[in-house]
Amino acid sequence: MRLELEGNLPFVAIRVGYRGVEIEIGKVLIDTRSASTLLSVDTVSSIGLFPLPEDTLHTIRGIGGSEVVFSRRVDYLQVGGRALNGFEVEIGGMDYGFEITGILGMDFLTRAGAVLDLGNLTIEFTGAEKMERGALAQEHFLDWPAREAQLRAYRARRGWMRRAPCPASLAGGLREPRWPPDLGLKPPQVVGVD
Amino acid sequence: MLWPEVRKAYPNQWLIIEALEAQTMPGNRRQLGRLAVIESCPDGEAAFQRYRHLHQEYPAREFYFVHTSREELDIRERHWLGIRRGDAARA
Repeated sequence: MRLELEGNLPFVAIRVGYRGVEIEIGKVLIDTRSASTLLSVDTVSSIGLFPLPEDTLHTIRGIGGSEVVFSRRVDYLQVGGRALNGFEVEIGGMDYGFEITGILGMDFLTRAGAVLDLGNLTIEFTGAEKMERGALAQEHFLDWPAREAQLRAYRARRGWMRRAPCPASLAGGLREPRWPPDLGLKPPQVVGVD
Repeated sequence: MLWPEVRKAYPNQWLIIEALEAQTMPGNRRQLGRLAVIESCPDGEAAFQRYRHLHQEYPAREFYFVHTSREELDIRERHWLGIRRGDAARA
């Protein structure tokens, strides 16, 4: 996932899901000095994130005064390919005198296992891959029949895609695209699935 | 007024309050003492926008947007160093 530098600060685009609706938020500052993640109310009001009576309030103090924000658990917060479910964010006015839609803080960065490469301006999640694989394995053992059905359906879809011929109109005289690249592997045999 | 008195006088509604006395307790809890009720708002969204406006106008005063259905105010304090931009001169 690409980082954008603006004023020498790293920004990234994120996705937030709340009550079944998703929005993409661009220009979120990555800030390793911020303990938590804060989103601007103007950005998230479109998905119905307003204060509720039971919300906990946070007062953020620092250079340039203080700000009261409310805290809410969203369905997920996603950066690139990494999503954290049931993630708690703060929502505030963020009236700092310049355009900013959010701050991605250490709570997300550490839990997601973020790796910032400031030479290449990318954010990756190497730890995340491990976690997801772990979770997948757990699911695999806990719910074997469901997992088996999932795998069968996935293989069936792939088998179907492979069997579909490339339309001549699209091929346009080019050689037939080869995917996956030829590694000397045979396509999986799909048994008992249409 | 203290919070229980505010709740009694303004039951079940969104309010903007100002803390006239407050202190931060161990565990980063912000404990409010005497309060002034600034105004009543129709819903949470309105209360938030009103807070935002008041906070910008009077940044030194300690306002909160709260609903009086809450028995206890649950306010946490945290610190943030702010943003130091490379192109601050352009701001």
